[in-house]
Amino acid sequence: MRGVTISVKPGQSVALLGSNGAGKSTLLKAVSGILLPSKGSIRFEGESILGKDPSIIVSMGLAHVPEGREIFPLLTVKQNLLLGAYSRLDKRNVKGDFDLVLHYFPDLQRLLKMEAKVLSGGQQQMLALGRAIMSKPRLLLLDEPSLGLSPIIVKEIFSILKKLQKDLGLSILIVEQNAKLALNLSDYAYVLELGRVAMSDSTGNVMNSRDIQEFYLGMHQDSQIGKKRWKNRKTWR
Amino acid sequence: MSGLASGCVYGLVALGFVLIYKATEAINFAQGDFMMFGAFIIIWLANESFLGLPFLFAIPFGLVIMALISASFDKLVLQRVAGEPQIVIVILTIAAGFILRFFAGVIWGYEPLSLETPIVGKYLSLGGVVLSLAEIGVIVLTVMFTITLYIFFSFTKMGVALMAISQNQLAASHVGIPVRKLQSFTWVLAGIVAGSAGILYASKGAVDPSVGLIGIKAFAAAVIGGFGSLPGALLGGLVIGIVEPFSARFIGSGYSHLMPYIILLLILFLKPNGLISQVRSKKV
Repeated sequence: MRGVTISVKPGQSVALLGSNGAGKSTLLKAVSGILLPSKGSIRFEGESILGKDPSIIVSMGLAHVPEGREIFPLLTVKQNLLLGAYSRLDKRNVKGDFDLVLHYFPDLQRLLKMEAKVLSGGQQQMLALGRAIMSKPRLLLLDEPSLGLSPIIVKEIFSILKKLQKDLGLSILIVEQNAKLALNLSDYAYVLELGRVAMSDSTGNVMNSRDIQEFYLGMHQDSQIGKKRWKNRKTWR
Repeated sequence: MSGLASGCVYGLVALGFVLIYKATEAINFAQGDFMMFGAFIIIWLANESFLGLPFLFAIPFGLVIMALISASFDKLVLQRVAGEPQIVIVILTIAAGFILRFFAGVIWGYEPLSLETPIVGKYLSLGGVVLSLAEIGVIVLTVMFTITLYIFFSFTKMGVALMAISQNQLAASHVGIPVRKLQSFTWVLAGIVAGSAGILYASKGAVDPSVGLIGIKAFAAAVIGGFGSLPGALLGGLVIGIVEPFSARFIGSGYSHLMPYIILLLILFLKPNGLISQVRSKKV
């Protein structure tokens, strides 16, 4: 990646769009300290977090929900959630946040004693989100929260995310293949292409852009394209 | 009975293998030699001919020394090669095993030594069955040690975090667990486990610098138990410990040393994930 500048203001939600290999996940990993960028600067609330250990970055209030959920399969759901609060210093409020997470994700309530590996994909994603909330973040990095989930579950998860964002005043930086969902959740969007920012604007403007409609939202008008697309050809003769 | 006792020792060494493997994804081939060194240290501290400290004082002291050796191996050697391929770490641990064997030989000599404990060589006769007190002690201590470890890994915050690292290292760093620090702590723990195994080994038989080679059998035990599972490692150790004397009796003592590996092959053919499997298929 080169020459990418991205900022998320407090309380703002930002979507990061782009095709495979554009560098979206890499960017998130660099922010949360999993990867060390060779150059550049990363600041969180004015403080540089470049090169800090991920555990310190989490304790500063920045939680990363990675792609593919990444739960602890053999620990119980409850243990998974409590580990989210591992780096917190205010131990006394952990119990309250535990109840808060169960309030937002009521499905997890009856699963608390089960090993996390028996959960369905959607429940695992809720667990991963709940675990991130347990660290009491002010900025949430979400990497493909809809990956491999059914449309109904995805809808549910996004409505919960919307509620969390509103109630807790969370800032969110979301990477999502499903551009429509991501844009619905956020107020600002960046489009990455091959490691650089191709476009950045408020969500409304991005949605109205022809290129975005064509490439990411799947709404294309035939008149717009001179040549017939190969996809629409009936035969190759 | 003596099979159970040596099974306990195999199990503890196997436990050391699994601990390190789970936390750092590397295999510490020096685990057997760590045990041997721990055995020598306890002999050196407790025996009359050396320091002659009181036995109950020598045990914690010996364990602390082993923890320090293990931790400094991690700190001085392994942290410097962090990020290198696993094979580098594996070869370094093999080298550490050779170095420990050499030092043990130079310091304490190559003649077998045995520990003088209050219970060594005493026997208990129960309804016609003669039991060695030392062996009973070994079994009781292993059970207590295992229960302690179980409580540590299931109920303490740090123990649960270690389990989390072993199950998913990436997720562990995502939720803010200080992975590096806890990995170093795992080396401390592995040193203590090796020291305990050494104490048990020394109290049930003679020790010379080459006994670290039971590490190979313990490695087989860890694989039999399903590499990666803590209870599996102990179970695998017990299986090998019990089968060995039986096969010595019914097949021939020369063949008994083959048994661990025959069991290993059988397990790998029949139940490749081990007795207690922890392999999961990853959903994408």
